[in-house]
Amino acid sequence: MMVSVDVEEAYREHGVALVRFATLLVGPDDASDVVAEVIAASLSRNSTMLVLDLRSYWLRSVANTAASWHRSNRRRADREQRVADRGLANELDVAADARRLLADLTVQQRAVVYLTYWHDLSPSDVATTLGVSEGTVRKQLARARSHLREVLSHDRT
Amino acid sequence: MTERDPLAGHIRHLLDDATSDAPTPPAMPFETVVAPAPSMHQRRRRPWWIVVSAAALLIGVVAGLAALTGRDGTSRSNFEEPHATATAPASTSTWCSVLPALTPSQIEATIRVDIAGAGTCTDGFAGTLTLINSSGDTCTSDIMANLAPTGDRLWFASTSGNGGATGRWEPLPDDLVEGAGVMEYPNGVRSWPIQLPPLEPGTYSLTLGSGITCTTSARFEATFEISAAPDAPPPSESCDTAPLATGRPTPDEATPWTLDGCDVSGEVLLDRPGPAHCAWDSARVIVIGWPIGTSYTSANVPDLEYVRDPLDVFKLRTQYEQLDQLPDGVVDTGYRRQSTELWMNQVDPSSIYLVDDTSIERWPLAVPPLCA
Repeated sequence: MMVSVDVEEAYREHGVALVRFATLLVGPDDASDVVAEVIAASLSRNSTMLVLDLRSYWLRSVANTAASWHRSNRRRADREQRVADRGLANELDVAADARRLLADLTVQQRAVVYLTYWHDLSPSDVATTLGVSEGTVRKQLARARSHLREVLSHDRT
Repeated sequence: MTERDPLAGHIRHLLDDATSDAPTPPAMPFETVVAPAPSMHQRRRRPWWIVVSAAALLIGVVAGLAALTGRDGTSRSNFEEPHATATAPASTSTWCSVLPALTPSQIEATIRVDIAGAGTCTDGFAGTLTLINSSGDTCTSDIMANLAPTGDRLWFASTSGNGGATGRWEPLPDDLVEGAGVMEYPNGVRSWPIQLPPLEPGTYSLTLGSGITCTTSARFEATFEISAAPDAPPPSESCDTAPLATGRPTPDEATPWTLDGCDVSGEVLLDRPGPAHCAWDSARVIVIGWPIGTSYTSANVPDLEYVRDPLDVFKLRTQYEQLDQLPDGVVDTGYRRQSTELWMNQVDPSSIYLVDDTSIERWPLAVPPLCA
């Protein structure tokens, strides 16, 4: 017997969450591209048929893709060009300001923070979702909290 | 984090701001990509519909980017429903069951039971038992079962959803509880992970009760076995003291696999000969996490071991074999080792299939499982 997970329905349900997660990791300009790449890759290798928890699988894929995204010089150049084209207006934007406070966190730390505080996942569940050990999650979360405590205190003063 | 953690509140607010301008998800042409598994005749190449879908997907990406709207006003409540309530689609399916065995600890069971987690060879089994109602479109949300070690009955009843336990069921023991992560999928498929206490090697029977109200049968029954260690090889000092003496190869002997042209981590797919110092290098072992693509070293990810053992050094119950054609339901995973392709069934990981231009080999799941 075959589990026939309705991918379309799953994407309709989780697409917004995936794009929002990707926005935190790579910014709004590239979020759609990252999510599209994740979905395309998972479909092209039939992996959606092999995965029972598509949401967690896609969240992990977004985190992994975002990490490699940051390593791509070409994409980075494109991204910077797009930002330059838009001028400085976005720097006044609330979202951009918030992302600036998060900018010093690694992609993995941002992913851990997001899944912990936005999706309310336990360290164990975050570890499962990201495919890392629970110890890694706790360590990254502690570092991220320490950093955010500092930057948030500066931001409020 | 608890609400007494003021930093958590600030972080949530920060995350809300940081993602408030998330674009809308790109449009996806799903109707062209959800397709049946390729038949055996399609085994050599990726099916055409995937190629078509990828092209259509690119169009969707462009459309999605064009539809960026900036701040979308999405509230946090959108993310607080990890499992949607199933809407039962029209279907002629009137029976329910659970999925086939997914780990080495499941042996020759005829009902579909997913026992996740790796058992040890000699110390019994403790892990997660996942019962999956795989055609839940006509089911109510209740499932019950009892687990009975031979001669000493051990009961459990999972009462998620409607119905609840009946008087026939003993109270749920403290150490046998429904685990976190009950999953419900849009098409009504549900799964219930249940934590098992440590079980000694032996044969157990599992009975699913009539609490599955969509079943046409009164109950499903099966047995599964917690196996003792396989027969040891001829004693040798080096083998007896080797940390991986029963078979899993060490990481320095890997054969690289690729996925979409990229090297695959050895924690996702490990392909090694048996330990040479035990004269087991005639055998070959492939270890994957399940679902494939997950790291088998991660918590809660079952590690599955497949063995090609032409000299039968591991004394496993099932041997690899050459096939003339791939069975129905087997699909290309995308993993490659030079010209060799790795194929699997979508829901039944009891075998992997190594396919190249001249042969098809079925490698069975190691039963009994090898020891790490």
